[in-house]
Amino acid sequence: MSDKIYWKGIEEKEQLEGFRTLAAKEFAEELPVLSSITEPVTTGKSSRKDFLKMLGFSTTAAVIAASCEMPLRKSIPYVWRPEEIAPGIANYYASTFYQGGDYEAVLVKTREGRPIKIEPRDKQNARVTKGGSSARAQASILSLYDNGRFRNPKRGKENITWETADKEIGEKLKSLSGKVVLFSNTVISPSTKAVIADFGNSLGAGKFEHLQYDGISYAGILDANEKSFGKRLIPAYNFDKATVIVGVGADFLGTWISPTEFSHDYAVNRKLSKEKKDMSRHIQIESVPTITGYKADTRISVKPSEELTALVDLYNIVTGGGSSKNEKINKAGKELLAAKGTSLVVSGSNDVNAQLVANAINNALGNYGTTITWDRPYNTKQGSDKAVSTLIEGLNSGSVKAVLFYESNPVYNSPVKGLADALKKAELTVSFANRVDETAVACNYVLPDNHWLESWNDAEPKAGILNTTQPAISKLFDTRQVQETLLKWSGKEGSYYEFLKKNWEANFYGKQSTYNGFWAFWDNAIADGEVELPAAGGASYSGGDVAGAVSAVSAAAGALGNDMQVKFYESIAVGDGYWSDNPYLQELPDPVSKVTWDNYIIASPQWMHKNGYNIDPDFKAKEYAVGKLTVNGQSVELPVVGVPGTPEGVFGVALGYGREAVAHPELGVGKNVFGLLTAKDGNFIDVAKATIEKTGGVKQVGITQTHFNITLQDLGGVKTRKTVKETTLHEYKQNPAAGNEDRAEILEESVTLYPEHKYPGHHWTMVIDLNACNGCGACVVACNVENNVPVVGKDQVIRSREMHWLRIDRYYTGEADNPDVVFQPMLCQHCDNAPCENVCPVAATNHSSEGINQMAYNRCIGTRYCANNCPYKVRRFNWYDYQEADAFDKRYGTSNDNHPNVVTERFGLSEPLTRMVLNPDVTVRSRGVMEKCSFCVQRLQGAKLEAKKENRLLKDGDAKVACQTACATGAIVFGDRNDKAAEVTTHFNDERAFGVIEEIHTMPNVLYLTQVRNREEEKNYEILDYYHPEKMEKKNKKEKV
Amino acid sequence: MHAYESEFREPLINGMDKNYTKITDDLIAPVERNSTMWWIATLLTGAGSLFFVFCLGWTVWFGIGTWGLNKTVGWAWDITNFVWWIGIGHAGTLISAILLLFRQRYRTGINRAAEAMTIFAVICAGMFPIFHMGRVWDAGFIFPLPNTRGPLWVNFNSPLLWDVFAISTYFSVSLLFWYSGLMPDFGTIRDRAKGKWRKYIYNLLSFGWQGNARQWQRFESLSLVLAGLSTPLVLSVHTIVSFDFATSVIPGWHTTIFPPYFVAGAIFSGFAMVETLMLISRKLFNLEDYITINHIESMNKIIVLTGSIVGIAYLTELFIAWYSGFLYEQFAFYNRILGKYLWAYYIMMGCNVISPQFYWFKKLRRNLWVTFILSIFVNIGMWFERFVIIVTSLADDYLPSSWAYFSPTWVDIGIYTGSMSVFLFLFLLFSRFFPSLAIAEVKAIFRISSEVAKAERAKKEGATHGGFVGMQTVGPLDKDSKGN
Repeated sequence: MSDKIYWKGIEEKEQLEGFRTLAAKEFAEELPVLSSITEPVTTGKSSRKDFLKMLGFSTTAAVIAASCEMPLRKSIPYVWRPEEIAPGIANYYASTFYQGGDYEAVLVKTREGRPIKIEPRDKQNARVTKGGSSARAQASILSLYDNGRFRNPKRGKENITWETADKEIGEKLKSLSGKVVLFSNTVISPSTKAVIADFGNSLGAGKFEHLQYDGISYAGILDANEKSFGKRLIPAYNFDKATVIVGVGADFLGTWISPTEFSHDYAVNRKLSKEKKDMSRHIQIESVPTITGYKADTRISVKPSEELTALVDLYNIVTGGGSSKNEKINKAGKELLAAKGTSLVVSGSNDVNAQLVANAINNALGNYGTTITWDRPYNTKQGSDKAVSTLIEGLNSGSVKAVLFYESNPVYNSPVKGLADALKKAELTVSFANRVDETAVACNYVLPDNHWLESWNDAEPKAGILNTTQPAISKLFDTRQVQETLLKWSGKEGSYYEFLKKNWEANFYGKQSTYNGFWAFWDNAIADGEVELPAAGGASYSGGDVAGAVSAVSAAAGALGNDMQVKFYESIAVGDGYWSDNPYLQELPDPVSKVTWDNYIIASPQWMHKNGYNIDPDFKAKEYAVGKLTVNGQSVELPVVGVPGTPEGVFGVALGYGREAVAHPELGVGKNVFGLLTAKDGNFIDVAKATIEKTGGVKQVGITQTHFNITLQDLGGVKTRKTVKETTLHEYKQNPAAGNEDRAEILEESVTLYPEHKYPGHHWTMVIDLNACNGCGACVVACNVENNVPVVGKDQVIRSREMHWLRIDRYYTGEADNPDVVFQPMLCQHCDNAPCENVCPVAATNHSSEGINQMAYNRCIGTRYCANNCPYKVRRFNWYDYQEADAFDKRYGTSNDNHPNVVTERFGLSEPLTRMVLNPDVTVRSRGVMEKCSFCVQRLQGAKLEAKKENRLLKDGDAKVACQTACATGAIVFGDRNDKAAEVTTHFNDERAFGVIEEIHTMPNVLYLTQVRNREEEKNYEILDYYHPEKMEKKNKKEKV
Repeated sequence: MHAYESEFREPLINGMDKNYTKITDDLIAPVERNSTMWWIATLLTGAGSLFFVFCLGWTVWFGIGTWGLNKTVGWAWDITNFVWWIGIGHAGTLISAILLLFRQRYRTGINRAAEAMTIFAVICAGMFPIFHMGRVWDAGFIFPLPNTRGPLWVNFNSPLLWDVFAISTYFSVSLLFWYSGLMPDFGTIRDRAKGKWRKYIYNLLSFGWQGNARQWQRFESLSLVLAGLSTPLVLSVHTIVSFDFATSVIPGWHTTIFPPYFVAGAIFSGFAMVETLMLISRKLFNLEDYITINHIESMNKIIVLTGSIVGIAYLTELFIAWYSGFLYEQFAFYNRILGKYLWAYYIMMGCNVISPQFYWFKKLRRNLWVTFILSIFVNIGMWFERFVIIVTSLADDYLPSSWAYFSPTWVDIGIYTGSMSVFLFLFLLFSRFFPSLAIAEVKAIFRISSEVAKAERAKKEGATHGGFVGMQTVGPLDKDSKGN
């Protein structure tokens, strides 16, 4: 062979400029086709001929494509495409979530005009919830597509038209001899209040009353503030400004007043970094464990009666007049005194006197004006516990002849009995509920309200912070917004939207100075979702009868006795029962007990052991012994579940379960215990004396994490799994790697002979701060909604088949009767050396060049080998066709001794209406395939495309995963580790960072930051063993110093 | 075949009435005789097989969710059954290949049935990896076939893929070995057949066997070649099956002892299953003269050997777990002994390690009832061994938060018992239509190791040679193979 070079012309031999540029191109000439696609015909270079070519080509292509036989799915094309909707591109609308008493500033993500996800608004437009989200807000999207929604107005069981309803009710309202009552939960919409006032005026003087009632009562604190400050409101609590926090039975991270906001503020002072090496000190005095107590630096475990005496003791200590029998409370009092002005004491009691004492403590500590401020009090809790009794009295005496129920379900969630019967005496009962509930069932008329995602509205959660709600979808059913209905009945013309706008123009526009012209103001309010008006005034402490309150509290504590006591609490998932028809929330494991789909009696494991209850479930079937709890002569039978940290003789039962009027019987799990609350001074008290007896029965409980024997104590000393790592603040200040010392050795030994993956572009990494995470579960629900994670139901959870991609593991350490707890969100660790990848015979799970361990669902044949070989057990298998992705049988076909049913009907995400919630960007997995966390790869791809369109590099924060956006505390940080400036890189290199079971060389891309507790003493770090209580007690004795 | 055998060895064919014709008559009798017992057994196991099909259908129709598996325990009875059946399938090849190469003459009495058992056991075993797939209709993805799906290819790193190759190879070679051995005997049946169709079918099955010297020469060569080919397979198949576990990261699975331990266990359970079946068939088909107590004792010796190897492996595992100092490994074994599945562990230990030790006593080794009961014990024990390895390791691995418990559903139980029905059903069909002893090979040892031959030799040469027998030449079994 010769090396001669042949050339075809002189231009090639000389490599002339023109030749080179032409040769570099694939086509010598510009292709007209490209320009005709990218440029408009009128302005571009493309000619009419090109247009015709394109037309011909595309028509032919379409004909060829159409001639293939395709399954026909029902789809409705746009006749005129809405200007802002591009198929495949999500639109976000600022809106406001206020449901069941929970407020949140949100963005509604819509795809092709269909809301599919609730996102928190950015901090600058979320002055209350500060960019955080809650599990309930995340799950609320499902209620839009709820099968339990009313599809048209009804008279009894008969469907009627709106005209008929208006005519009939209009006549009745005119002819009524008595009063009309509008019964609602707290209304925070100023315009709605105006509508209600107008409606009342239209009925005439003395003929209308608006009663507000909240299922989870805050009447105690409201009434106390009325006495102390002259305002029946709740002031703003600034947890971010507090250095010493003492919570007395107030679950402020989980459920109390504004948990999303408090979680955010609380975490601000709990995060540590190289620059900020100090954190707040949190002491929680509580009986039934809550996530707040579990997150506290010191948790003082007391009986409900002692929660009350603790307040008295604290009051005495801070006012210099005494001490407590409990040394820990004495110490807490001293710490509070040392932090005057920057401390904060909160009480969760609904006893007016207890709240008066709490106010007195905060006043004595000088916290008003610093950690508690009155410039922007909450409007979200205004209900009165007397409302139901007032209504019943009115109905029975005949003074009330008509009742309209708006966002309220007192037939279910009121302890006062007899409402359903009293309602029969009214001439007109109307429920505006948009989905079925007990009160709607008891009413003559159901005039369904729009879902909030279909509505215009406003909200004022805190004084002067105005929010707007705008519809994200047209009405799905023949419903009508309550405000429109009331406007119509009060004889007003025009829509509620017009009313709203006029109300804003009249009342709010004038109070701001940012925008000139109402339309600018209004448009910005709608676009941002929030407007801040200047803070209005404050309140000054006037004391009240503190001495009387102190003795009353002591008396109340004494009345509870010294024996067994029960506390009824609000669960993070279902609230006052408003959310118990939401499958996502029912399947969210309770952060404390890890139980789904049920309520149960919380008890102390030690007490259970002594009294013959099985502490751990019979692990074969998750069966728990049933106990009969009796309070004031009324009993409830529920399974008894041990929760470490509960004092002996104390029981807890969650409110909000046992709904009867629900769309599917499975949503009515558990028992309703509202009837067991006791009334005191007109307010409902959540604690009571109780007795309990074993019924002898057992019940299966859908618990997702049990506590088997997990330590090795018998083979030469105690050995502990270092799944979680923790230290104290004192240790941390001396050595940032405290508690994490072994990591250096692990990394040193982490060597391999094999070539490692290369990550030339991005290397996605997540770091989770265990110090900030409070286990609330918002991330779990956000993940479910974002990634179409199926809800599988109680039976499947009992079989340990929950599908959650992200779960929150909970570990106990320290004293057995009052342990420390670590919450650890656990998701696919996206190992750089993933054990799952090499075992898949068909390479369905593989490694991306960006470090993501990805699943090719189409390729998966379902051998489950990957799940078996996953040391983190985060892979989930589709045992059934949970979401109707295939044409498989719609039933669960199995049974065993515990499940006598051979086949059961499925519900939830396999129903056509509910399936509208599915995210079109994420494959709906079919039966028989494995699935797991994808690091929200659809979001990453979306962010990369955005950056590409803008012709720039991806910035840190462009790509956010669903769990991260939902997290109120900012515990989850995600980003590209190859970006040296990224926040995640800083955390990744932090001395506190560790990977779970790194010693087996999985090289996880999810790291955790050690938990740091702000206290002096260090308990032996060891994960506790609740499976062998006798050992536990022995050890406990040894450990108590 | 050249042969020399000490007079002190017990004969392998008993009965002074034996000659080539009698052997043919005795061994073909089950094929030529109608039996009510057989019909009853076949119908029963046939019904059981239909239930197996029903349970598989139920699984495919509703989903794997009908089994008792959960998020933590992704394999349980399915893979336990798979490994158990594959283990049982080990005896056949060992007997036909390794014992052939080692010139163990007692193999002739049991090799045919053992090979058949291998085939059927592998068929049963193969059902489980197929039907344990979530999407069984896409099972074809595991074959490295050129496809139109772009560069999609199988993952050669995965032990499950190695299984596919190991088992399919094993199955093909075993089938070939078994079938080629059957051909001369099919010829014999054909030659004795009365009916036209029967003659025609057995002629087809025998591939027109003529019994001439060239065919015998090739037959012998093929036997040797296949024996050579399948010898490594005896070791490789279960080694590769053990890789399913050994290459993983799960404590209790991740151990290097698995290959030899699994192979020993497989031979152990294979021989036990051969014994269970042979003890029944020698009684039912009057084959006591051909499957003698001597045969059974030989097999029992192998059982006590492999059983003890397995026992040592169990103890080694425990020692290494302690010695490793690795918490998770220690915990896995702590859990086996004292955890929630301890009952399974002690069933395994009792059946596999303790029960075969009775065979150190000659009296028990030669007792049919003891042998029968222990053979069943061994198979129970070996099933539990796989259950213990698979389920206890998965149920409690690294993160305590995920620990769970497995309990079977009726579908799990139905599929397992159904697979036993399928196995027995196929074995019954085999014993009725195929000669369950290798007639030609039994005849080959008639001149060496039968009671008749030994008595003749003792009479003829015993006086002069003081009890020792010199070299004897036995030619190919020419005429008798045609059933004369």
